[in-house]
Amino acid sequence: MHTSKSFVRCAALVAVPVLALSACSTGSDSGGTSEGAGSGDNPVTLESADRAGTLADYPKTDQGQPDPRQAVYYSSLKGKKIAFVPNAMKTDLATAWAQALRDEFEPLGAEILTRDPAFDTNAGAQAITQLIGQKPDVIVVQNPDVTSWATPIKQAQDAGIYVVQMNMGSQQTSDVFIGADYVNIGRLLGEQLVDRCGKSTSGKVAIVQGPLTASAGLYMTQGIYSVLNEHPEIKVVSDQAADWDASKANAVTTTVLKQHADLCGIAGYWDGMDGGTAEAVKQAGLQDKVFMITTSGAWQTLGCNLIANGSYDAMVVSHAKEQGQQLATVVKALLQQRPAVGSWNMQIYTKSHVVTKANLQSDSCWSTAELG
Amino acid sequence: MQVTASLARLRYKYVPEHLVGELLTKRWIDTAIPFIFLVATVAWAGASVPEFFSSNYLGLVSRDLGEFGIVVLAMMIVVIAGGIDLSVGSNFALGNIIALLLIGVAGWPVWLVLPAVVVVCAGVGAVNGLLIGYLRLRAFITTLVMLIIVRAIADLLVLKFSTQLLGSEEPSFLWDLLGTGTIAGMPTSFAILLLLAVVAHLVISRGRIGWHLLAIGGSRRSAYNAGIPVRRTVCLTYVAAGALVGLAGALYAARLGGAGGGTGLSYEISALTAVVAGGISLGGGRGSVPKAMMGAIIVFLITNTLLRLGASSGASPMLLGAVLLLAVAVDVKWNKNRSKILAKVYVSPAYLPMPPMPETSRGSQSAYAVNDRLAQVDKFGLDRLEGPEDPVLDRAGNLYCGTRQGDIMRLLAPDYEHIEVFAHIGSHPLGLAIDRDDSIVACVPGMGLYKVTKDREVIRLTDETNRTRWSVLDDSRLRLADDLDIAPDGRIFFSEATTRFGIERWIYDVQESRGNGRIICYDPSTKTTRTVLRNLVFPNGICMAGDGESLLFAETWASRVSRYWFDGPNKGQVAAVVPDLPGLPDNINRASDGNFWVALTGMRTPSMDLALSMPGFRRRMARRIAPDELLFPNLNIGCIAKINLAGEVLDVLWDASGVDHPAVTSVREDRGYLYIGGLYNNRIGRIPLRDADPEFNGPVSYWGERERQSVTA
Repeated sequence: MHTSKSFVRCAALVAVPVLALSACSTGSDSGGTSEGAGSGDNPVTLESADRAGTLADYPKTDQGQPDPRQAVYYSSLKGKKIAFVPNAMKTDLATAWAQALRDEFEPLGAEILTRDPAFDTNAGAQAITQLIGQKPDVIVVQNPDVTSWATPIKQAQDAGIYVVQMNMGSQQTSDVFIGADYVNIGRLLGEQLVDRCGKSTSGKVAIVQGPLTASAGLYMTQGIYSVLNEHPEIKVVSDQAADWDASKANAVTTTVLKQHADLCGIAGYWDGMDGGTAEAVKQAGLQDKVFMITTSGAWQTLGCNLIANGSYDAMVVSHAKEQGQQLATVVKALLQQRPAVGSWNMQIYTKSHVVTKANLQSDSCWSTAELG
Repeated sequence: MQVTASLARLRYKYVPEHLVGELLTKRWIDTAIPFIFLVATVAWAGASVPEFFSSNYLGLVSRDLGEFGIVVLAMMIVVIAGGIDLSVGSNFALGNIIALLLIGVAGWPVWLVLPAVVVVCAGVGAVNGLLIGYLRLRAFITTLVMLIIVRAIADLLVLKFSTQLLGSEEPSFLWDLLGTGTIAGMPTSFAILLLLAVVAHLVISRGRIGWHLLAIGGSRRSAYNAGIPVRRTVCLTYVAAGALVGLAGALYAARLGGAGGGTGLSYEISALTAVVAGGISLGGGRGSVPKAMMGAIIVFLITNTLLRLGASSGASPMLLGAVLLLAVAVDVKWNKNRSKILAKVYVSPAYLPMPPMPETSRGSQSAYAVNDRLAQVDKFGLDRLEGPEDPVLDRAGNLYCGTRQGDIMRLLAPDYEHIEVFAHIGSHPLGLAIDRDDSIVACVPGMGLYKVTKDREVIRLTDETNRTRWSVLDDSRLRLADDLDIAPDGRIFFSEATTRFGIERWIYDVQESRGNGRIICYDPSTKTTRTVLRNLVFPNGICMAGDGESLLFAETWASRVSRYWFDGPNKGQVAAVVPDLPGLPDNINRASDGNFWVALTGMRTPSMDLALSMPGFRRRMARRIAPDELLFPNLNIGCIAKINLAGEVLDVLWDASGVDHPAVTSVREDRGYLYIGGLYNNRIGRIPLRDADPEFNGPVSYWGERERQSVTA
């Protein structure tokens, strides 16, 4: 009796650490797997996939051919984490880009993390620094300006995370920049103004900017004036900042229209704000006389609808949904090719074109509903 | 019944209910609420963010905390002086843009930029300070206007120089150290915050200007009346706040280098929320740096964690608003009700079962049988003395006693008609004794143990003892020194009746009847004071037993007299001498025949005895009714008992009528007479003793013969 009792006791003493150890090792196993998937540095290629036995294992049957590329593609994306830090989630651009990421990656088993700084530069910087701790594979950022997020972007790159910058490039270059060519957009704006406000008109035009510090605005301004400076018949009678604020744009425009009843054209910098500009024109009863042009991410609600109802005569469109698809493609390329972080330094400018009532199509814009 | 009693005994012995009240008396209890809130916030953040406790994460976020913490510090300095600074956010933005301009456009070196920015922002603070401190404008409106003006200036600067700022920043080691470097493993801004917090804490809690700030915040008028330069100090708080905010702005510039228009937007609300969440009163006068830092961490963690969780953009301001409201509500309620709660919960009665009461009825065979032997007394100093608690006689037979006015009076022998103030102490002296050098040693409630020499020099012997280990209440100060006696070697043993109440609230100690008191020894040879015996139920009279190694002491509410050995083979032991007196023993003094006189200041009553075993009843009573209506022993009767060391009651003198000597607190035998004192009496009484030694004098019998001083000395 005595021996059996002590035997049981011994067995129990042995069993406890064994159990504990096995629990630990199970845990670390699973951790190790996700770790490998999360930060594997080697590009996934056909050859590497073949070496790993994935290709050879496909059964050769008469029921069609297996696609050897499939595994490469899916395994490069499964379990990956892609983070997205825009200026503010509520903007049309951020909505479209985030949705593109979700549509493309979530079905493949990748995770999309979004952060909403709500136009707070500091909060955005914090969000990026926090994300570094979470070790995502890619961080997609939309810079508020060229400096503020430079340090966090550099930290992220130093931590081995790919950084894709959208629309606004930071002074800190990273793996990929994707964005509208704002200088070109500015040129398109300027050309439209020149077209419409030539010899037979007063030649007076007004420009409604966002905040003067926004680099996108600076680039657009450069583009506009590079055109207008060649056309002395065009007189810029007003060039004011409305800070991306529709009511401010409305007030600015109302005043300009009072001072210059013979105004010929207005170029606004963003359709999110220029609803207010157009409203001022309408209130002044000058909708038919003043040429109104703005820029748009091609959101139906703010863009094409206002072309259709005549609020805008034209807009320079950089299609946000298309940008989102390009973003998704680039992220896929990064995750598959696994270049050294920062080595690509690739610049991708998305196309811009002018949309007027004449060339307006039902698919010129994207709608929130279609994004799902 | 037995079980219930045992349960009650156990409950009141082991559940330290009195600690609740003692905790509430602590000044740091104010800090407890924000601290709990902080712990909850950290727990929430830790639970929501898996990597929260990794050093990497904490390192990253502490950098952002640095700047915000400095802004909170600035806000705190203004708020505790009774002001408010809404312009911190704008000033922060100004500091940021000026730092960027000086570095990027003007090309100044960093070591020059930093002070320049601080000076400019301190200048903004100085404008606030001049308007609010000297011109007495309202802080709220003034700083609100400054918020708008300074924000406009910052925006104008941004607009004017925005193109020049783009990409103009030239890296320098010092600038990078400020923005992205570390000092001693901490992000630079956090290290700077830590340093500033320590300095600010020292200045505010220890420095003159800090006390001035708190005084002004508490009551501007009183501070002015006390001679504090109110205007200048108020002005300086805004200057200091401006300087701190400027520093934070420069750090922000170094970290992000961005001149966006939204810099520091709504920082004033965040900082205000942090200050209030830390438990700093918006009304001013109360607050500390640790509180502000706790508030800063709370607010920072909330915003940071919500951001990390990807909450939608409205969540953070909404939650912060809720926190601000909650904190303000708690602050208001807490300030308003703390003293009320304290008054309600502080009195915490204990379970004190009393032994059966001995028979006292007139004509019975009991040793305590009532008589009228105190009915005929001589009265000295009638209506000229208030509260002679413990009269004592010197070698010459002069009478000394303490009075309510805080004096020790001398009544000159032999007729005691001439009464003079012997010495002014300041508080009502209770127990007196005469030492070897004929000095008078007195127990003075609220002050401690004092000595008055023959030359009337008042000397403080001690006013503190060693603090009880683990006690919540700081019991190192003497609150209610009651009676004393002096051992032959000069050591003074004295009782402190209770450590939980001052003498003005002794009535609540009756309700508690817990072992709140102690016996303390003061050794004049080493000038040290040590507590020798704790947890006594209102220890009162102390009298040397005569063997040089033990003393008798009375525990008033427990109605018992015990013996304590402070030396010899029984050192440290306590033994009951009379465990079941019919009344409440007060002072004990020597009789000429080697026995002891015990003054009974009141009589036990069946109702009070019952109540002592019903702590819950006494607690309800203490909470609900006025002090003068509380249940009470019978103090309307006087009694003096003579006992010996064996615990036998040898003689009893009663004043059953209660007219002449109710509530006897002390008796002294001298030359065949018994002198009677009472805490609430207006005279000293005297009755002749039969069979007493007509030559007996206390000091002479205790300290030995010396040539008798003349009566008129």
